[in-house]
Amino acid sequence: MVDAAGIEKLVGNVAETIRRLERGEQRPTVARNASTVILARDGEHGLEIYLLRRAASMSFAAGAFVYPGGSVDERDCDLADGAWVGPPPAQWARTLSSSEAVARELVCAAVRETFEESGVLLVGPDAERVVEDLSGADWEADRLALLDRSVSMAELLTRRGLVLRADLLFAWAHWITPDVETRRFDTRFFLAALPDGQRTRNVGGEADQVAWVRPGEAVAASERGEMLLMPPTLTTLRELAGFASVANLLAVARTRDVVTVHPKLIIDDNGKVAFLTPDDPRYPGSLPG
Amino acid sequence: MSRVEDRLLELGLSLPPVAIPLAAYVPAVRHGGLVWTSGQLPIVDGVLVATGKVGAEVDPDVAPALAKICALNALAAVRSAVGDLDEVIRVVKVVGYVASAREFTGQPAVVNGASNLLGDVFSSAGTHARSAVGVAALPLDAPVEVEIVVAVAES
Repeated sequence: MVDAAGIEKLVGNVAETIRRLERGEQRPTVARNASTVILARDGEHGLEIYLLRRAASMSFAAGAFVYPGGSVDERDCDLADGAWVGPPPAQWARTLSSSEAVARELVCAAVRETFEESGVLLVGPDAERVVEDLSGADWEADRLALLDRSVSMAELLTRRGLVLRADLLFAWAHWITPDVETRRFDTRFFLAALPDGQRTRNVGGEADQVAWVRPGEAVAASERGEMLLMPPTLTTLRELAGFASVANLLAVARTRDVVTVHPKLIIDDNGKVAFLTPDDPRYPGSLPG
Repeated sequence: MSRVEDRLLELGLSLPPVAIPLAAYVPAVRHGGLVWTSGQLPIVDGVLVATGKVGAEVDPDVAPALAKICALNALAAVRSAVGDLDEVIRVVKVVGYVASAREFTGQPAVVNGASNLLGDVFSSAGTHARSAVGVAALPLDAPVEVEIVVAVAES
């Protein structure tokens, strides 16, 4: 649960927007398809998750710790079938409850954004192997070229003779930004293990800090007010906190059914803005009790 | 491969090998037209994938997936007793035990992870009677345990 002060910090004063939406005087902004990837590794003390802090200059969620991720790029759909191994787009479409074309874009965006924002690349020479040493200047040049959109993921894979390893991603969650916000995302949360031999690198740009954290410690830091986490990040970190290892987490991710969460902001009986998830009895349309 | 196992593959799942019993019992017993399984834990490749109480160490949003793993293990136990899951004509009863934090009362939603899987696999023959029970502790500190009773074609 997020308290009223926490909501204001995240989205500003939205009371007037809530009233305008409720009166039908304003339409919600269209939510853009986006992918975000929860990178996991086995650390010295157990499961660790990669988070980056969005720079104070960012227009969306400045200062919040997030997983690598971002909007689908129009060229994420360019990926040829031959450049893809693992569950095909048709199977991802069932998992993600999307069209096949959107599933292809979401998975490609997940791989691209992970590379852009962590330096970790879920591709390999074939269906069994993953690229290992990405420390060279040539890989950094490729990362920067993806970031400034001068090259697409499809072009990068073709030039290097590599394939996207869709089997290394697992669907974990699906969050849609509340209607009142002006920048809205329809975001699929994927899970991936840090591949053997790869390391995260200092990515700069949108992030002013990166860290591998124990999920339970991040939740505790957020509850103490020492770490700003958006509700989907906080919720998913709580879910991950009970797992002892990456292997255990992936075993559950393979069987988990993803539930769409579309939180709503309402003005409650005390005149305060309240953030509701669908399991809240005050959520419109939820069953009593 | 059997029709039921094809359906599992469509769902992106596969039947695990039957879990080795922890003590003096067998994974499943067939008696007449019914197969009764022993309680199944969320064990994958021999490893309990989560431990602790639901509502405390284990997040309630994760627990349905654990119940689903238990149900897959229960189907493996059924197969060990009858040879082929296509013999199953009805899921009769599901009992789900949830190791619960003191204040936790969401056991039905947790056990839905098992019930929904059986519905997805067996369609209308997968609807069943059920108990979802909160308990103080389960073997090995498992968060969830599921047992099932199925009816099979009389041979």
